[in-house]
Amino acid sequence: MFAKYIKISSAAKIVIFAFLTFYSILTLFPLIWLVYNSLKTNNDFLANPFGLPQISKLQLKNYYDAWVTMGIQRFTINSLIISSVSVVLSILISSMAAYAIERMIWRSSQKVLNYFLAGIMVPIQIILIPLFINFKKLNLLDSRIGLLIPTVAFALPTSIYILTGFYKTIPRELEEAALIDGCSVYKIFYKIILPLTMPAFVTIAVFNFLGAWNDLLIPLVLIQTPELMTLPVGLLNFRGMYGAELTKMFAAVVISAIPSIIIYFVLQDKLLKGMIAGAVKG
Amino acid sequence: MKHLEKAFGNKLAIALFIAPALILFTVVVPLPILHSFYMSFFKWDMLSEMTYTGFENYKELFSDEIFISSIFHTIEITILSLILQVSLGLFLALCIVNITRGRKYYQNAFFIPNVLSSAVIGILWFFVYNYDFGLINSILKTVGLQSLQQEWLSQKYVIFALSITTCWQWVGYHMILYVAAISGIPQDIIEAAIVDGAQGFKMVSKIIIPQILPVLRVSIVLIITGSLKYFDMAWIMTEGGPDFASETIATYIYRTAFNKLQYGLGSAASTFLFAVSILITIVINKFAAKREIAY
Repeated sequence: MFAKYIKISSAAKIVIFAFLTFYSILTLFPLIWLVYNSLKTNNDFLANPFGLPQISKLQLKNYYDAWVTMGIQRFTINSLIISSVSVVLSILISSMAAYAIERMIWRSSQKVLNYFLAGIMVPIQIILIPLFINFKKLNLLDSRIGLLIPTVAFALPTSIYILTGFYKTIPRELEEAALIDGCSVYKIFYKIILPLTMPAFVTIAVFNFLGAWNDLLIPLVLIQTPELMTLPVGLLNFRGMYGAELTKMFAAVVISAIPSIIIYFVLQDKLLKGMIAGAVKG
Repeated sequence: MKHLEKAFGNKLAIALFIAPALILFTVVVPLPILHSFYMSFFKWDMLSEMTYTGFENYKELFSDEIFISSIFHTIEITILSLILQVSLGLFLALCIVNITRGRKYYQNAFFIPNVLSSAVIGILWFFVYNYDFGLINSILKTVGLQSLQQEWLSQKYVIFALSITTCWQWVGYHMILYVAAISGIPQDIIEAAIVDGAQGFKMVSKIIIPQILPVLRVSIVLIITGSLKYFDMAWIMTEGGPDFASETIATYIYRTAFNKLQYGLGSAASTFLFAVSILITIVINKFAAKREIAY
């Protein structure tokens, strides 16, 4: 590790620690401010936005109201459904494609890989107008399927990229032995390859789950009924409807931030490793 | 191995494995791009007939001051993001690699904003910047600096304010890339540099930055492509306002198509954005080719 062989004077160390601590407070304080204000009454917040809430007057009711009365519960469930289903679908579809590209023998495999990888560079705005118009014709607006289709499709390029890299590292001998034992390609993929791919699947799952969970633009365009809104769009809708009840909205924002933060702390090694590998190789 | 080739060259199996991804991807990404290009030659609001107007939409687009200014705002955000995120990210990374104690805490603290959704971040920062009860102005008031209170999301400051928020969201990500790259510099290079008397700034500029150049390049590419499609923060915090002062190419496309129902004009703007992305991809690929020769 770097720190081991660079000598730094203790005065310089103190400056570094002071700066890092200062900047970490600067980074975290907006979040802390959000959390403690979500526990105030609206009037207390407006009277003193900076001050801490009084312990005797903690407004846990803000959370109850945001969750139950104002519908954050429904948005959360919608987000969970879309994110989980899109993770399962994107893993299934991309692992099959990556396996065909990396392990099967055919002439255009690299061309097909490049075709998918070009998709990483496409800004999603470009496809939204035709998507909206065609989905309207096909009655896919305001439907979960309609929302899942582009969410999964946009998760494919990165997933395929990570998986082809992963499949490169699996030794051929495994497949050869299975073949001699009389397994078909399908059985080899299903029985041998898929279980081996689990570590890569976790990385992709975290990526794609957070991607779908946090995505704003696709659901903003494709979903209009509150019953089907995911959290980000729901929050904006919530702001439009209950914009005056600020501290309740803060509670809603805190609720929708919690799952991302939990996922980060539980799976951060996977997430960071995948991110660094992806960026350094790319 | 003949049977291997036979089994893994099985055309039907290949087709079955690749088809779902290929079809889904083609239907959702390349076909709509072509469709968008096609629609950019028509006037259409979905209610009346579609009428062919040739390059009319493009003419309208480039004589629309708001669109022109949206290009400039996108460029401003790109430049500000590059400056803020690369320099701060590099500085934070250099600080972090020199400490061992508390390293995990600092990395987490700086990275956490990156896992939050843009809706969370946008709404939070809308209130951080708010004039009457925002965080910044109430801190200024608490420490007696009322004179510095500002309308942070005003025409004058909005691009800068948005770039600060985006920096808050992304700087930790870039810092982590840099930390990984710096930690990966071979030990003998650092030791040789120390023997040669490289210290402090010289060490950074002569050894560390050249060594992590490939990662720096990746992070610059990510910032540029991210800024090109800058939408979420501008839409959540200001809806491109006030008075279009934070309109980006992406918010312009969204507004034109989904608020004003001018699908043809919106498609022309989309096609423009796509052309710019292609151009940037080509430039980036040139860089990448250079990189392969250099190593």
